Amino acid sequence: MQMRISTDPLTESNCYILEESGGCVVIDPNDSQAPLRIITENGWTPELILLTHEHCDHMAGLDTLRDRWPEARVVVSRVCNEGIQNKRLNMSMIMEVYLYFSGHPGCHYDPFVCRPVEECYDGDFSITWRGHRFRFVPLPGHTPGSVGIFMDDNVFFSGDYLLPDREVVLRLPGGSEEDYARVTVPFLQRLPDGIQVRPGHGAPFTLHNTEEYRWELEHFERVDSRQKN
Amino acid sequence: MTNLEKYDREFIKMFGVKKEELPTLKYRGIKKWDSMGHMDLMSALEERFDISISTLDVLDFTDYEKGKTILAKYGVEI
Ligand SMILES: [Fe+2]
Repeated sequence: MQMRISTDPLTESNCYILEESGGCVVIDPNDSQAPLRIITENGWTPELILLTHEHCDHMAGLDTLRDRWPEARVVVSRVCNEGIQNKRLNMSMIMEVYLYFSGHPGCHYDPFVCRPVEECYDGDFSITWRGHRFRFVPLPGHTPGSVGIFMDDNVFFSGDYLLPDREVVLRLPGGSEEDYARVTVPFLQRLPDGIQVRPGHGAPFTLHNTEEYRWELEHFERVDSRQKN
Repeated sequence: MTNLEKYDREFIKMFGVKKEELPTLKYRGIKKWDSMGHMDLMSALEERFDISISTLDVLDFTDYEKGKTILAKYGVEI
C-alpha cells in the first residue's frame, strides 16, 4: 500500500490517500481540487471515503469526489453526518474569521454544506477494505462527531487530536472540554507505544507512549511536544 | 426574555463573568475572550438571534457595547 498526503495550503489540513492495486481510500478530502487531481492523475479509483470529523477543512472535497465516483463507499459517524450538513457545526460559516485569526486576513471563504451520507455508524465500528481493517472510535471534544481511525492496529488517523506543535481546539461550535477530558484523553493515553500517527494537520509521527506524553494529555498541554524529544 | 437579557446571558455563560463586568468587557480584555472565544461568542449570538454576522462585523465587534450597535444592523434591537 502507498500513502499520499495532500495538504491544503490555506488551512494546512491533511488529506490521506491510501492506494492498493489501483483502488484507494480517501481520509478527509480536505479540498475540492487537490485530492481529485492526485487520484485522477494516477488513474486510481476511490473505493472508500472516510472522515475524522465534520469540519470543513477536512471534507470540502467530499461532494466533488462523490459526484465523480458515485459508487465510492462513504462511511462517517452519525454525529459527523449531521455536522457536515450544518454551516455552523462544519465551521464553514466562521472559517473566514478563523483564517483571519490564523494569519490569513482578507481571505474569502464561502459557507457550504455537504449532502448527507447514507452509511453512518454509532459507537465503536469496524469495516474491512481489501483485507485491511479500519476501526472507528468516537473521540468527542474537538467536535461531537470526531473519531479516531485505526488501520490494521498499527496506524492511527487522529483527526484534530495529537497535532504536532498545536494545542487541541475544544472551543469551536460543538466542542467540549468535558467530553475531551472524560472520553478522549483516557483513550489517547492508552494508545499503544510505537503506533504510527497520521494527524489531521502536521507531519506523521511515531507515538511514544511515555509518562510525559500521558501527563501532557491529562493537563491539556501541547499534546505533541514529545515528538521533538 | 428581552433581547438585552439574551445578549447578556451569552456573555455570562460563555466567559463566566458577572453582570456588573459586562459594560467594560472587551475583546482580549479577559483570558477567555480570545480569538477562539470570540468565534464561539459570535456563533452563539448568531444562533441565539437567528442572524448571520458578516466577517467584517465579526472583526468590528470589539467590545460588549459595540456589539449592541452591530446587532442592531441585523434588526436585533438591544
Ligand atoms: Fe477540526
